[in-house]
This record gives sequence, structure tokens and C-alpha cells, in this order.
Amino acid sequence: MLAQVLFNGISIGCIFGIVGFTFTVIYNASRVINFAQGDFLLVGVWVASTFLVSVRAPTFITICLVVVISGLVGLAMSRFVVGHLFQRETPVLTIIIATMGAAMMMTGTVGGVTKYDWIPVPAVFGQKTWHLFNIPIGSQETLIIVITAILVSGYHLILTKTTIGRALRATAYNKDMATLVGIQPLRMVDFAFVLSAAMAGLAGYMVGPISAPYALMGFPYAIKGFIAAVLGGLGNPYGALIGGIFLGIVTTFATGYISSAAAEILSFVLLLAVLIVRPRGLLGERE
Amino acid sequence: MQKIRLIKLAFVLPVAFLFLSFPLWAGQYPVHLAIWASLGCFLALGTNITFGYCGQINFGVIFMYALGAYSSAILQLRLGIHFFLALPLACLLTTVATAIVCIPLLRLRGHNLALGTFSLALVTYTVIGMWRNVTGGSDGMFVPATVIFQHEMGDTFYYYFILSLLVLAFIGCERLVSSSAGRAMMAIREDEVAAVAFGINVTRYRRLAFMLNGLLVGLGGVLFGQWNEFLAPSYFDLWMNILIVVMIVFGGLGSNRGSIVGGATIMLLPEALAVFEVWHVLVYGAILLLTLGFMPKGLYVTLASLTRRLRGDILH
Repeated sequence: MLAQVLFNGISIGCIFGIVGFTFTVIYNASRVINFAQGDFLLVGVWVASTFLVSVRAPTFITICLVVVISGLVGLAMSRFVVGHLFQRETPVLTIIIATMGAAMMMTGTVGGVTKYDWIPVPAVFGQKTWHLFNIPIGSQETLIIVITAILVSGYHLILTKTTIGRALRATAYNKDMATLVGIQPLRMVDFAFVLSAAMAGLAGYMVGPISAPYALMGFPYAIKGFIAAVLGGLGNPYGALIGGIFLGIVTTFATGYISSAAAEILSFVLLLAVLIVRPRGLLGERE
Repeated sequence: MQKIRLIKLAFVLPVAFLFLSFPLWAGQYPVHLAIWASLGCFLALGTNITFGYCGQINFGVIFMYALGAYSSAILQLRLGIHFFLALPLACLLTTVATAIVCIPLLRLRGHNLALGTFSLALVTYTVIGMWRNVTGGSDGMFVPATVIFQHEMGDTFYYYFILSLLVLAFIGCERLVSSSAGRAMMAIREDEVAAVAFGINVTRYRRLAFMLNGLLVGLGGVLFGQWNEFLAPSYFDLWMNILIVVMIVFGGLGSNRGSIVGGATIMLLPEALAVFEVWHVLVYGAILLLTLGFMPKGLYVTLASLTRRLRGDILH
């Protein structure tokens, strides 16, 4: 029983972690706190639902569609919202509020179409529960963990092995110097957004079958991802992932043994504790 | 010069008359909306002081809002204090409490301050929801109606009362801008190091900005609670917290009139968008995005500078 709760906690923690991870990637590239991060998940869920339920598309095609369409949404947001405001040299606070506007548009679009009803997303392997050492583990939960590992390794590979990945790292490290060597900061922001949106979209599709997706699900995930990012240390995506997993374990245990309300409160308490005791988070650098 | 003054007066007087006589000719719903908008103006004016004038990030506005509302309600309900005494007491309490939380918070700057004030908002929301004995928890608590000479006050009273306080608050904020305190805050916003070099006590003025923020937002909370006659945690959630920041960005950071515009608009927007039914969130987001996209400096600030340029003003 304990092991099952732990497993589920790690699984949902991976989702929080991906939200925090992608959130940090965008923050590193642009110093923007992206309020729409949770809504990228919503976009992924909704695209998956539309194609799986109405069109009966095969899973593999759906995954590709989710990634591509989420990525496009991220690109649109980067180009028309964030990049546009960056060029006008608007203060970061305004851009952050603009991301909120974008988040509301995403939520509003899905909400208008679904009328804020539940969004059905079939699980990839159906309702199967596998068994590992006599512990029942859900197929979808396992898939989440596997996909997370793939996504994060993929991100790492892109960042280390590709030119554009190196450019992103350079921008995160020192934006002005990166501009001096010819890296266009706006293009890096675009890249960060596309990557983050695509990853979050896929995560949304993955979490859809085991949560209760509906149009307003974005904001709570954004908060959780934000807490995960702070736990891990704002600025370190891998830290955000670990923070997310930690948060997932803690909240799942709290939900299981106390109540879901307690889980919410606990996540806030955790955030406070980190801010007081160790503001740079688990893996963050000293400011 | 005299002619311009007379023309301005010719515009101002009828408008003022309309505002003053509003409850007498408008229906109940418009008066309700007007009060709702005025409350938003309080929140925006106060928050503008820290964000717009002093350049500080305050993501914990809900702390001041809730503290004002709940302390006034508790003073009246559990201690039997009359509203007109509870109001200044609650405002004083909120201001002092803000000064106290400033002690740890002012060590932080930039995004750490954002995180710190944000966690203040989280704590506030959590405490309101959990402290059943005092705040009624998630069931909420009722606020006693304002009773003057054995009459219960209604929307008309609140309209005049809130509007007059708002006018006073606005005048106060405008005076702040041209005062030495206001100039000190703006210096801190522009360049903190330079401000220190000029001998400005940065901590003191940052704290003052936060306290004024607490005063105005707390007052808004007191008035809201009194008018609504009911308080519940749902009024003080994270969404409201962010909405208050949206108000000042939407209207125009660092502008009192912008805050009035932003506060009123954001408060009234949900009502106006109800016609769109399911699509109201999308339209809200679109309005927010389009406004910020085309007028990043804020709705009022951009329009004001546009009209200034059209009129050919060189000075402003």
C-alpha cells in the first residue's frame, strides 16, 4: 500500500516536475514567469482528447499531433505575445501579466468548446494495472515516469549535442555575451517556448487519463509547477524536476492519509519553508 | 489661461453633478456596479504605490485586503464595535501588520521579494480557510450591517461613503507623488544605488510604500466587507491576488488615474462579459492580451499621452 502511494506520488510528481522544468526553461531564457505553463498541459489534453475520441486516431499519431500542436501554440505565444512585448522594451511585470492573458485565452478557448465539461482522455494502455513485486502499479502512471525520463534526457541531449541547444545554454548563462557572439535572444525565447510547450503538452496528454481534465485545470498545475521550480531552485530545470517529484510524493501521501485539502495546504507550507530556510532551493545557485 | 479654465469647468461641473446625483436617477444595478468599481479603484491605487511609484514587487496584496476586511468584521461582530470606529481601527491594524511583515520582507529584493510576498498571500488564504473560530473558515462569516440612527444602510449610503473616501484617497495619492516621500520612492524605483548615494533611507521609504499600500488596500477590504455583508475565503484567493496586480498593469503603472481606470475596468469586466456566457474567459484573455499588446504602458497612460500629443502639448 505504502509502495503504491509512493509510486503514484512519483508519477504525479513527474508531471509537476515537467511543469516546473519547462517553466524554468522559459524563465532562464527570458526572465518571464509564464502563467500559461499549466495551460500548455490543457492544450495537450484537449488535442489528445479531440483526436482520440472524435477521430479515433492511433496513439502514436496522437502523440505526434499533441507535441506539434502544443509546440505551435508555444511558438505563437512567444512570437505574438512575449517577443512582441520584448521588442517594445516593456517591463517584465507587464509581460508576465500578458502571459496571464494568453493563459486565459487558452483556458477560454477550451472552456468555450467543451463548456467546462470533463475532457475524456483514454489511457494509452487502457485500464491495465501491472504488478511489480506484488505491488499494483498503474500502466498510465508508469508511462508518465518513462515519458518524463525520455523527455528530460531528450532535452539534455538537445542542449548538449545540438548547436541551438548550446545557444540556449549560452543565453541562460549570460544573455548579453550570447548576443555578442551572434545569438539572437528572441529566437532563443521562441525555442524555449516551443520546447516547453511541446513537453508540457505531452505531459498533459499523459496525465489526462488519471486526473479529471477540464478547462480550468491549467492554473493549479501552474502553481504546483511554480512551487516545484522554487523547491528545486529557480534557474535550475533539473532541480525543478526533482522539486516536482518531491512535491508529488508529499501531496500524494497527504491526500492519501489526511485529505486533499491538507495536501494543498502542505504544498504552500513547503513553499514557505523553502523560502525561509533555503531560498535558493535544493539545487539553486547562490544569488 | 482663464478661458481654458472656464472650458474645463464647463466639462467638469456637469460630470461631477452626474456622479453626485447618480443614485438618485440610476437604477439599483448601476449603483451596485459603481460601488463594485470604486472598491477596485481602492485596491489599484494602493497597489500602485508599491509597484508603480516605488518599484517594489508586491504579490501578497491579498494579505492586506483580507486583513482589512476580516479585522473590521471581527471587531464589529465579536467585539460589538460600531462600523465607524471599526473602520479606522481595522485600517490601523492592517497598516501596522504590514509594517511588521515588512521586517523580514524588506531584506528581499527582485524576484525573491516576489516569492516572499507571494508566500504571504498563500499563508493568508490558508489561514482564512482554516481558522474557523475566528474567520468562519470556508463557510465564511457575516458582517453586521451598518446601522446609523437605527436605520440599516443600503447601497445609496455606501455609494456616497465609498466615493467620498475614494476621492480623498485619490487626492492623497496625487499629493504623494509631488511630495518628498513620493519623490524618494520614485528615486528608489529608478535606481536604488543612486538613491542611497543621495542620502535616501531606502528601507524607510520602501516600508512606507508598503504601509500606504496596506492602508489603502485594507480600507478597500473594510469597505468591501461592509458593503457585501459577507466574507469568505473565495473572495481572497490567489486569483484575486493576481487580479489586483493586473489592475495596475492594465491601467498604467505609476499613474493614479491609470489605477482608477484599471481598477474600475477589471472589477467590472466579468459583469460586462457575462453576455458571452461560455466564452467569457476567452474574451477576457483576449481583451487583456490585446490591450497589453498594443498599449503595454497601460490603457490610461497610453491614451493620455496620445491625447497630449494630439493637442500639441510640449510639457505634461
